[in-house]
Amino acid sequence: MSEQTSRQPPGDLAMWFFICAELLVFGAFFIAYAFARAKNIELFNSSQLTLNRTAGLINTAVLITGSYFVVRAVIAIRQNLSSLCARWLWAAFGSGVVFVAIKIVEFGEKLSAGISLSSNTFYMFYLSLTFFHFLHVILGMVILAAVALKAGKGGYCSTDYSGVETGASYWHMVDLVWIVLFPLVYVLH
Amino acid sequence: MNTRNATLIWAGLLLLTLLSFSLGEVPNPGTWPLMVIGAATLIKGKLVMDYFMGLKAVGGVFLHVLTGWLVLVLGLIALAFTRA
Repeated sequence: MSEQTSRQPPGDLAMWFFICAELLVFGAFFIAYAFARAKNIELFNSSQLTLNRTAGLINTAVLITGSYFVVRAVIAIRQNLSSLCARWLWAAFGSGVVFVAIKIVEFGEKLSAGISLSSNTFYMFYLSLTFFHFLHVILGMVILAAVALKAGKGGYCSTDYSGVETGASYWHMVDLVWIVLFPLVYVLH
Repeated sequence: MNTRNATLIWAGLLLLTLLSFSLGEVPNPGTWPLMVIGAATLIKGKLVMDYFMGLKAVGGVFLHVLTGWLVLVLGLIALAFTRA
C-alpha cells in the first residue's frame, strides 16, 4: 500500500524522461512502417520472407531472458546481496553479447547479398529500425557493465540501489521496444 | 516482485513469443491471427512495464504514459494492417 502512494518510478527520474523520449521516436518509426507497408503490401511481404525469422525469435528470447536476469539483479540488491547482483547483471550483459552477435550475422548476410538502405522501402525500414535498436542494445550493455562493476565492488546496498534500478529500467525499455519490433517486422504479414 | 513471480512472468513472455511466432508461420493469415499476435504483444508489453519495470507497484504518470504509448502504437499498427 505504501508503495502505491510513492508515485516515484524505480531509479533516476531523468532516465524515465529519456525512456519516454526514446519510446516516442521508436513509436513514430513503427507507425510509419505500418502505414508504408499498407501502400506496398506485396513488396513488404516478399522482402520480409528473406529475413531470418528464427534469428529474430532467438533474439527475442535472448532479450526477454536478459530482462529477467536484470530483475533478479534488482531482487538480489534489495536483499543486500551485492555480489549476486553483479553476477546477474553480467549474465544480462552476456545476453546482450548474444543478441549483438546474432544481429551482426544477420546484418552481414544482408550486406553480402547486396541489400542496403536504398534497395527498397522495406529494407530501408528493416535496416534503419533494427540498427537503431542495435545501437540501444550496445548502450544498454555499457550501462549494465558500469552498474555491474560498481555492484561487484560493493557500491550498492539494500538502502542505496537507485543506480541498479536506473540501469535496469533502460534495459527493460530496450526489451519493450523489441517486443513490438519483432512481430511487426519479422512476423506480421 | 519476488523470484517466483519473476520466473513465471519470464516463462509467460517466452510462451507468448512462441505463440506469435507460430501464428506468423501460417501462410496468408486472416484477420484473427493478426489480432491474436497483437493481443499477445500487448500482454507482453504490459507484463514488462508493470512487473519487470516495476511501474504497477508505484502507479503514477509513467505507468499511464507507457501504457498509452503501447496501446496507441499497437492500435495504429492494427489499423494499418486491417485497412490494407
